[in-house]
Amino acid sequence: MNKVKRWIIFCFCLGMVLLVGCRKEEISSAKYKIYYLNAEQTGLVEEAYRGETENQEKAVEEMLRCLREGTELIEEQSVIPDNVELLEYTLKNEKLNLYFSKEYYQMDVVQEVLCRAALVRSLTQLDGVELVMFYVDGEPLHKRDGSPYGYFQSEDFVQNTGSSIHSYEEMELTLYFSDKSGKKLVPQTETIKYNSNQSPEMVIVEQLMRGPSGTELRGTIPKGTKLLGSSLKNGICYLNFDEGLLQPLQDISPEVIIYSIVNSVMERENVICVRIAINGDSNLTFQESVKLGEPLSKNLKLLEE
Amino acid sequence: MIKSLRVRIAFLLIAFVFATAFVMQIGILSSYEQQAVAVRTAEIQNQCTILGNQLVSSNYLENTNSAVMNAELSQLSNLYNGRVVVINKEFSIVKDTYNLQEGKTIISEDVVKCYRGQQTVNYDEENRFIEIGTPLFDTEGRHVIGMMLVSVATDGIQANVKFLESNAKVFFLIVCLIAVVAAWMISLGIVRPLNRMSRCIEEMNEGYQGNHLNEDTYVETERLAEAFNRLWDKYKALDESRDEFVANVSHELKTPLTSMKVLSDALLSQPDTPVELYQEFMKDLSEEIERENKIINDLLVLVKLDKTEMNLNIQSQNINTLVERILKRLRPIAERQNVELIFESYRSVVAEVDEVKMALVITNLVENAIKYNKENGWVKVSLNADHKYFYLKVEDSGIGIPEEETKQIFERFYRVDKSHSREIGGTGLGLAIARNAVILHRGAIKVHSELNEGTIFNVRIPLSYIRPTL
Repeated sequence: MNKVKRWIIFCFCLGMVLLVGCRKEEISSAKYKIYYLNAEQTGLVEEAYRGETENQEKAVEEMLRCLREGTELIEEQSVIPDNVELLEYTLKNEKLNLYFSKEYYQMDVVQEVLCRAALVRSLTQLDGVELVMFYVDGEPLHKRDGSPYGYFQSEDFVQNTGSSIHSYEEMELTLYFSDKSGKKLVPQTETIKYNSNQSPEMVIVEQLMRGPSGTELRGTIPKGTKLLGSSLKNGICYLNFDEGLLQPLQDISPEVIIYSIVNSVMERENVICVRIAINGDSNLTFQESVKLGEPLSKNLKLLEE
Repeated sequence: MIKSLRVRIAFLLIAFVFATAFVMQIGILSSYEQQAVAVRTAEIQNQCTILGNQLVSSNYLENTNSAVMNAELSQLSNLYNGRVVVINKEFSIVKDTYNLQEGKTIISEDVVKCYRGQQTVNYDEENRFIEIGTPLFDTEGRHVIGMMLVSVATDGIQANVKFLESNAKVFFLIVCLIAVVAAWMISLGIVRPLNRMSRCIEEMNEGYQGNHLNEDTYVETERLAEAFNRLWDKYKALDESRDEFVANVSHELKTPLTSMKVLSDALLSQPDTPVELYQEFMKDLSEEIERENKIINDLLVLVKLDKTEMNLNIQSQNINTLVERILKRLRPIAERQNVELIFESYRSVVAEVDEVKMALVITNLVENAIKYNKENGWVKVSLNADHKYFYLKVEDSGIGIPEEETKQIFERFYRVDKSHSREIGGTGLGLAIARNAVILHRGAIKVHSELNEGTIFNVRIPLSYIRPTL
């Protein structure tokens, strides 16, 4: 008797674990995600979406219906309040126009923003929908000061993770590494994902430290070097390294080391020149050939022809 | 090795110090990081409030071209190695010191909380950032007109933690090293008295008998030493009593032999001794041999009593019949000395006893009563019982025993009147045998005597035999 009971409990627990596991996996692996309002109405929650996706028209209609109806869960509400009506929508040239009744303006600021974000982020996932435009009472949606919003796209909204402020952004970088001889610089383009709390200059230097991909090129920053700080002021990028940078690298000329950093950082548009310091001291000559005392700017002579 | 007390003490000490040092290290380090983050957070929150007020008063949210405010923002950003994001009340980013997301709409939960007028603090432990959201209130301080988000890297704190960790490791090693040495010394000190004790006992074992164990470093060792000394004293007393016993036995055995030697020498020294004299001497010799024989028999009985404590032959016995049988056997001796034998039985007593040993007790007591009696005296044996014991009382009207000697009469070969022992006979072992037999039955024997008036022996034996617990 007892044994049977124990088995039942065991199976039940196993089932629960499997169920929870499935659910988690479902959301992260699902191709489409749909956004609902959380119970406190302070943020959005993700849910896997498995609706129709073949026919564009039908796909939009079904997703809009899902967004409107919400789910049975208490913690997931529909982002569109009951009193706001979606009168009609048109889809043309990958542009989706949504027409709402005038009650749309009765939503408070938070609800309105969340509603807009959820709709845009959900709908733009579909093939054939790139831009979304909101109309209220026949007029384009306008800001508080009266100026109208244009078309929205997914990138207009910061993709936050959880409740925190930072997000993971993608950035295309052009990094300069040394060629095999150690005398010339070769650009390499990479797309990386990074935490938006990190300054872009720091991300660039960190990528330089990681070294080039492939075996053709050579890294220019000695292993174990630390970037103590980076700041951007009036277009001048200040980089403060620790003494690790002073370690000599075999067969790589000092100019190549310094200008691989300078050139890479100056790929950022708002950087006019770069100043490099070692342990806060910039009044020195790097390996007796590059003066760090003055601002450095891009050196294109080192590039391979 | 592991069973050595010293090793165990040392091990415990070392383990204790290790554990303490380890827990302290972990505790201090983890609390340091928390504390440092909290301090940094408070500092930045303060800066945020100040800057937020400036932003509002300079109307920055409407017009982000103010050079002064932009400089202030980038100052804050550079100072703390962090990012500052300013958001207007439509949730779109108007200023980002990293120039990443300007113009975008941000809808994170923290931003919404900020909009509702709440200051938010987040510590991203994985990437080591403090994220602070500050609501910007209008000049009247009532409505939120924007938000400012500041995220600050805590690399500095992390560097400090790393430094402290490596420092802590060094100190931990030093402490452990000290602990190992100290534990070695302390454990040596703690077990030293024990070592001293065992060495002392070893010496005593080798024959320095006068010594006593003396170790008062700990209460425990003192107690142990006392217990050991008591045992030692007992052992020595036993040894002495054995010596004495052997001396007594030798003496007792020698006495008849000496008589025999004298008698036979006297016969041999006279070449023509008359037959009558021969016969008389031979009779004496025979008596002496008889006496020697009796002593040896009694000794054997005594030794057996000492040894065979375990194999008593316990059976239910009617004590009345037993006493009557013995008295009947002794009556001829009593009549020869003109002593009256009286048996007084209050009730019929049945008890679990070893018949032979019980008979020894009764026989010895009654025999003594008859022997050490006066002419025309009397011996009275009475038997009584209650629910637990039966009581045997042997009274006589004899010569009595001096009070100061009543304690010694149960000792082997002890005699009250040494000069008369020859003519009365006996071996001096009777009472010792009686007492041993009584003790074997878990009973008690007591004597009460008045000089020249008589002696009373009281024997108390349990009705049911109490088995000795092994």
